[in-house]
Amino acid sequence: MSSTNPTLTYEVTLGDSTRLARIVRTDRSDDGISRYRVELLDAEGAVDRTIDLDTIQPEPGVLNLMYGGRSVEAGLVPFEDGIDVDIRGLSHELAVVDPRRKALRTGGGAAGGSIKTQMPGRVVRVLVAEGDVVAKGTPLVVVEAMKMENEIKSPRDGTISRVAINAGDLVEARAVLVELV
Amino acid sequence: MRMASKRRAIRKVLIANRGEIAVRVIRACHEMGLATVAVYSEADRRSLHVRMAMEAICIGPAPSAESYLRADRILEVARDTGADAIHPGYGFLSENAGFAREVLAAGLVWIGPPADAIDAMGSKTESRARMAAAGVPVVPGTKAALESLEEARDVALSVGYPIMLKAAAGGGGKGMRRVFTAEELPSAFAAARSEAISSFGDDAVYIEKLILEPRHVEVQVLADAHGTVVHLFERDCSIQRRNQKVVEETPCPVLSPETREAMAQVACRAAEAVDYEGAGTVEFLYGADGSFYFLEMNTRLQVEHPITEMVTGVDLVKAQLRVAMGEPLWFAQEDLKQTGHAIELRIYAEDPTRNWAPSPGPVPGYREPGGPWVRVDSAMYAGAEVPVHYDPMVAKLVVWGSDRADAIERSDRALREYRVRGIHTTIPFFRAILRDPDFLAGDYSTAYLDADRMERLCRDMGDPDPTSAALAALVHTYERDLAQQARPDQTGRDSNRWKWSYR
Repeated sequence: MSSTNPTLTYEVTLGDSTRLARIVRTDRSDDGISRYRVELLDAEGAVDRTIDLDTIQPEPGVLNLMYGGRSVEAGLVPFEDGIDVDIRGLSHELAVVDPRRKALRTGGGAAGGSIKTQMPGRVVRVLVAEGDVVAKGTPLVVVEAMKMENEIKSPRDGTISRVAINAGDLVEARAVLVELV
Repeated sequence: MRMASKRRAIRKVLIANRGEIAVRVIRACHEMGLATVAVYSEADRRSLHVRMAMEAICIGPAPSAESYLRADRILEVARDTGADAIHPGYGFLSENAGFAREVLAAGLVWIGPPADAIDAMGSKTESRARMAAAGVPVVPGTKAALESLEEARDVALSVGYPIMLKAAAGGGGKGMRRVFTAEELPSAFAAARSEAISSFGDDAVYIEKLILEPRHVEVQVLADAHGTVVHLFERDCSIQRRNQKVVEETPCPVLSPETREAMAQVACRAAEAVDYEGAGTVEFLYGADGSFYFLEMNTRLQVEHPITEMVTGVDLVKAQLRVAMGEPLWFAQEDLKQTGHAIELRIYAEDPTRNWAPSPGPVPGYREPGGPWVRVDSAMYAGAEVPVHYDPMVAKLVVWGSDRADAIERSDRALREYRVRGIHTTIPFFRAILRDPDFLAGDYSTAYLDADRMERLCRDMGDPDPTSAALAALVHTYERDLAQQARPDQTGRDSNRWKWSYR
């Protein structure tokens, strides 16, 4: 059965860095161990590093990975356009997309100019309006959660092209607050 | 002499709280064979205290003001369920003297101190005056506004430098000046006054002795209805962030046996002065020079009570219940010993890597640490959700060790085992504290978590592991896509787009 598994190519983005990777499942045993071969590609598309991976899913949302003699436990929380991977309590927010499907995606992502809230909560104050010119660090919106107010600041210089929320709104994690161009 | 109170029978306890403290109280009740009634808001239907209690009643919508603070609803539930006592936990209605009186007026037992004691300790100025009258040391100074620079000079001299000038109408650091010598006083006095008038419209300032690098040390007391007051030693709660305690330990690593005894005696005197009953905590500022001053008394069970339980072997919640039933304390002061060392780490649903942003949400996976002398007080479980409406503290990791070094090693080991999925927590931040040389030396004050150290500790939380994260994300995405490919009929996420793009 392993020979019938397709090899898929993905574009993996973590922070500012994006690279291509190929993955194929090479084996799945009856006791729930899945093995994969992952090839990390360099900018020219040549294989930079090959990793043979041995994994189990000990509980929902958790992957135990073994490679290169290491055992790593990863907690996974997928969200709309990415996945949050927790390793030893540190979070890694990644986007994994099929490059062929990328053209279908309607903007979005980190570069799309959407300022999002990391946490669900209630919008207490909206400090900017459409057309406002803002500098990096300008407070845009105040969101309250767990009795604490958090200021969401502009990540860069720009102009507010859209305000997506009103004071008093309840917002989910990663909801778009304002659009910045 | 107080009259010995009548025995008050308790068969069913209503717990007017939520989360880990409700769970803690339910456990004590069940061990004592008492029935339990939980109350909960609409946001807490899935909370562990609701699952554990024998009865549970919804008291209103998510906001605390419409549920956990609704004294009228809670009393109604007590009447309807036939509860004969109310335990308020901490926070919410626990230090509300009016509520305590209503509970008693309804013919129920209040598992807490007398309402008059709550009142007496509730006001900072009143409690300070009462404590000073009872011979309890308070921070020297004057609450009265200073008339002139000459008066300020006299007061500063009698209090002794360094001193702090404070705006009478103040708060938030405005109108405050630290003054170390008499030469600095005139300009500091003028500056504090002008800042006070521009910030608060009132130029009244007063003087308090400045306690340099104070530690926050508190003493646990227990008093029964028959006039017996004992202390259960101290807790050092100096490590705070935004006035929130984050790490507590007992014993305090720098207290001499003489000071400990003196502080404990003063704490008992403070409790006696207000005819205290039940469990309470007397907080002190402890100066680097060994002086200590009364700060306030918390007239309830403290969040950090478990570390005291770990070193004394006394179940403080059961003690509260038995005192409320009118029983005398079943041990004397000389029976109490501090054995070993205990540390509490408060696990908050906050993301230390993103400027401590609150991190509520579903927790699909959860595994508590175990092994010898590790205790977790929490209401968390795999499948639970941390609501946005309440305090971000989700668990307390409490660890006992034969000595401080042993307790620190064990705490770090327990943190390594702790898994909370779906939300971010302060767990990696605590591991950085447990490696910090100043913490290891016990050398810290309430200023410990200043901006510099926060930055250093956040850097020291461990290195990200981008390769492993990418591998995990790849495996997850690959399996998801394969599953969608294999079942084209099912309307899984993105399945239409998937088919289209692969045609």
